[in-house]
Amino acid sequence: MATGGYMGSILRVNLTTRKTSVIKTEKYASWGGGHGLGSAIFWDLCKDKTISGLDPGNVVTIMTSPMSGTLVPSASGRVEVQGIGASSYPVNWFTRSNFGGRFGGQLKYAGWDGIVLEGKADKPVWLDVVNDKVVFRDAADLWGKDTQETQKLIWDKKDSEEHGWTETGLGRDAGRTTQKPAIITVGPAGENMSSLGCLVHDAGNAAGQGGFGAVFGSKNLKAISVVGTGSVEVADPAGLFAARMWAKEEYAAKPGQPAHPNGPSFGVDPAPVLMYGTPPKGAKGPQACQGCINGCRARFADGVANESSCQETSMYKVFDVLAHGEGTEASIIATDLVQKMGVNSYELMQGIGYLYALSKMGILGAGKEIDTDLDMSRVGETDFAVDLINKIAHREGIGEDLAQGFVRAAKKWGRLEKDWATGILDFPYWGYANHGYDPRAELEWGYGSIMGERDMNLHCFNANFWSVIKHVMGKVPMPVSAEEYAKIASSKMVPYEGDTSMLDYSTENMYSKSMAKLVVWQGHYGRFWKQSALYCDFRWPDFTNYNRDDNVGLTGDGEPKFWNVVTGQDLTFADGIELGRRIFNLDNAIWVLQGRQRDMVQFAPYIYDVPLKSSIVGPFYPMAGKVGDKWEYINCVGRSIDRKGFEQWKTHFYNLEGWDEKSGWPTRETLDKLDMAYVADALEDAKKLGGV
Amino acid sequence: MAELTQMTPEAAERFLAPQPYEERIHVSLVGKHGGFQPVPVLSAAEFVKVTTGLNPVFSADDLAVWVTERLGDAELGDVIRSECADLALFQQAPVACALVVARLAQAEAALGVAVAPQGE
Repeated sequence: MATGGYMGSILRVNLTTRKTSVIKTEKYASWGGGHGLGSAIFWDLCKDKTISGLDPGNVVTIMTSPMSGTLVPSASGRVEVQGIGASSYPVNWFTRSNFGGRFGGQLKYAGWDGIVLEGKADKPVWLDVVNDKVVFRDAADLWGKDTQETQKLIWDKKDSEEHGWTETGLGRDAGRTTQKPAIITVGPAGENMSSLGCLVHDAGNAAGQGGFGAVFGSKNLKAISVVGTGSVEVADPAGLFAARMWAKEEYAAKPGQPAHPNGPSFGVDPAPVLMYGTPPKGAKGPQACQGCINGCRARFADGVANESSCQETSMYKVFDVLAHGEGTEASIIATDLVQKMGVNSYELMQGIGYLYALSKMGILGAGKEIDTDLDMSRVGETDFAVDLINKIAHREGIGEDLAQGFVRAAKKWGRLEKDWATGILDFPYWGYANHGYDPRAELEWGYGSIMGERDMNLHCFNANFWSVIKHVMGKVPMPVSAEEYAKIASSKMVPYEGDTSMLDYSTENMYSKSMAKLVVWQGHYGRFWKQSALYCDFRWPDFTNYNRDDNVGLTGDGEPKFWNVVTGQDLTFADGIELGRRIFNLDNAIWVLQGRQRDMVQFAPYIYDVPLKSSIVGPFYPMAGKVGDKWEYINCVGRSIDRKGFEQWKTHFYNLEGWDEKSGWPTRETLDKLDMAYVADALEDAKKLGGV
Repeated sequence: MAELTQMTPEAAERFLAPQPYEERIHVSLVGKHGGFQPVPVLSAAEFVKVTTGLNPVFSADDLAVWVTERLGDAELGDVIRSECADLALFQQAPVACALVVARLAQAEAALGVAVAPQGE
C-alpha cells in the first residue's frame, strides 16, 4: 500500500514489553488519515475506555495524513495526536491535539503513517526511529531536561553515531537526507504529569491542549526521534504540482498586493503572527511548517522564543504591560519558558488572570485563604513568570494544585462554584480556558466545544469575524456584505448547502435547527478535512477570498483536489464531510463509554447567568446576522445563553446526528448507516445505546 | 483636547485611588488570532499603562461611567464620551489615554506630589 500518499505501515510500540510491531495502514485506510486513523485504532486497542489518561492502558496515536510530507499547501506539516487526555473536567475525555513542523514528513519518509503507543516503560526511555529501525533508548540523561536541551542532546547523539544519511552521491531513497531528526518531547511539566504538559517539537510546535505531555510522562516516554530517508509516492505528481499552481494563481495573495485582513484563510499574505506588546528586537526570519505557504512563525537572531506564534506570544502581555506600561522582555522570556518547560500557554494565560483576580480580592497570597509563597506583587515581571511556570512544571507549592488544572485547583480551594458564577474563572467548556471567542457571542465556538470534548480551536467561521472586526472597527468598508458571506459560506456547506440561516448569529436564531446544522457541519468538516486530511486551521477552510472578483474562496474545490491527486482517489468534498460524520460518531461513542450523557453537556454557569458585557470585550462583537429580513454584521455583545434555549438547541443537534435526544447516545440505526454496527454492539453491552 | 477644570485635593485623591477588583473595568486586546483578551484595569494609572503600551478596544461609554462613578470625575467622563464618540474603535485608545494622562497630571499637581503609577 506504499502509494497514494500512504506509506502502508503504522508503528505499534509497546512500552511495557519494549517490543514493536506493524499495523498495516490498509486495515484502517477507510478512515482517511490523521484523526480518523487514530480514533479507529484507539477503539480497537484501548480495551477499557473508562481509564484515566495516566493509566498505562491508555493508547496514544500519533498520525499523519496521505498529504503529509508532500507539496500540498498548508496541509503537509500537521500531525494529529489522540488518546485519553489529562486535562479536561470533570472527565478526562478521549481527546486530540495537533502540531505542525516537520515531524509528520520525517515520519512518512521513515516509512510510517503513524505511531501507536501502548503500555508504560519501567524507566524513562526515548524512541529512536531511523527508517524501519526502532530502538528503545535510556532517557536517564534526558529526564529533567527542558524540551530544547532534550532535542539538542538527541541531535548530538545521532550526529555522533554512524548513520550515513548525510553521504552525498547517493540517489533518491538510497539512505540520504539533509534533515536532523524530527523530535517530539516533553519538558519537566510532562515528566511530572502536570495536566498543562505539552508535546513540543523543534522550538515552537506543540500539541498544547489535552495534557498529552502528562500522558507521555505517565508512560515514562521522554521523546520520539524520527529520521527518514525515503519519500512519499504521490499518485499524480504532475497533478499535484498543477493543483498547487492553480491554488496560487487563483486564490493566493499576489506579491505587492495590499493585504486583506480576512483572518485565517487561503488568500492572506504570509507573515509571522506575533502578538507581543513590543516585538522582539533584532533580525528575524519567517519559519513555516513543511510545505506551508504561511510562515506564521519567526526565528530571531538571539534565538529566544524562536518559532513561537499567535497566542503564546500574547500569554504574558497583559501583565507585562500592566507592570511596565509597555511590552518588555518579560513577555518574550515567559513565552520562551513555556516552550522549554512544555506548558500549555492557553490554560496558563487564563490561569494567570484568575490568580491575579484572587490576589486582588485578598483571597490568594502569603497567609491568605489560599496560602502561597507565589509573590503576586511581582506579576508582570520576569521572575514571577519564571517562578509560576516552574512551580507548575515541577508541582512545587501552589504548582501542585495548579498542575491538576486551574478548574480542579479552584475546586480544591472551594472556589469553583463562586468563581464560575461570576466568571472570573473563565473556563467555559470542559475545564478548558476561554479561547477568546466567547460562547455567548460566537455561538459556533462555544457550541462546537461543548458538543466536542475541548476548546475546539476551529477557525472555520471565526475567519469572517476577523475580517469584519478589522474592517469595521477601522472604519474600512467590508468587501463582502453579511448576506453575501452567508450565501457564499452556506453554498459550500454540503449537505446543508443553501441554508443561509446557518450563518445567522442573531439572538433570535441562537437555538435554531439551522444553528445546529452549522455546528454539526463544522464538526464533520473539522474531523475529516482538518484533523484527518490535516489541512491547517490557519489557512482552511477558505469560504470568502478577496483576491478574487467573485470573493468566492477555494473551499469545496480545493480540499478534494489536493487529496485526490495525492491519493489517486475520487473523493468528493461531500464524501469528506460524510467521513467526518463517521469519525465524529466514533469519537462520541467513546465519550459515551466514558460516561457522557446529555445532562452533563453544559457550559460553566456564568455563560448562562452573566451577559457578555461591553466592559469585558468592548462594545462590538461582530458576526453575520439578520435584523428582521435584512442581513447585517450584528453586535453580539450583551447576551447570555438561555438554559432552556440551549436545551432546545441540543435537541436539534442530537436529531441531526441521529442520536437519542433524551440521552445524547447514538442509536443503532445511525451507527449501522455509518457501517459501525460493532460500535453499536459495544454500546449495547455497556447499556449505553440510545433509543433502547 | 478639552480643558478640564482644576481638581481639588479631595477629588484628586479619589481620582488616583485604585479600585477594588470587583469594581474594575476592562479594556480588551483584539489580537489576530487569539480573540478577545480582557485586561482588568483598577486605576487611572493602569488605564494609561495599557493604553500607552497597547491599543486595546473598550466601550467609551462604559469608561465614562467608570470614571464618573468610581473615580468621581464626571467632567472627565463627559469629555471621554464626547471626544471618542466619532472615532473608530481602534482609534479611541490614544485619545482617551491623552485625556487621562492630562487628568493624572492635574491630580498630582493638586496634591503637590508625583504619584507613582500602580504596580511600581
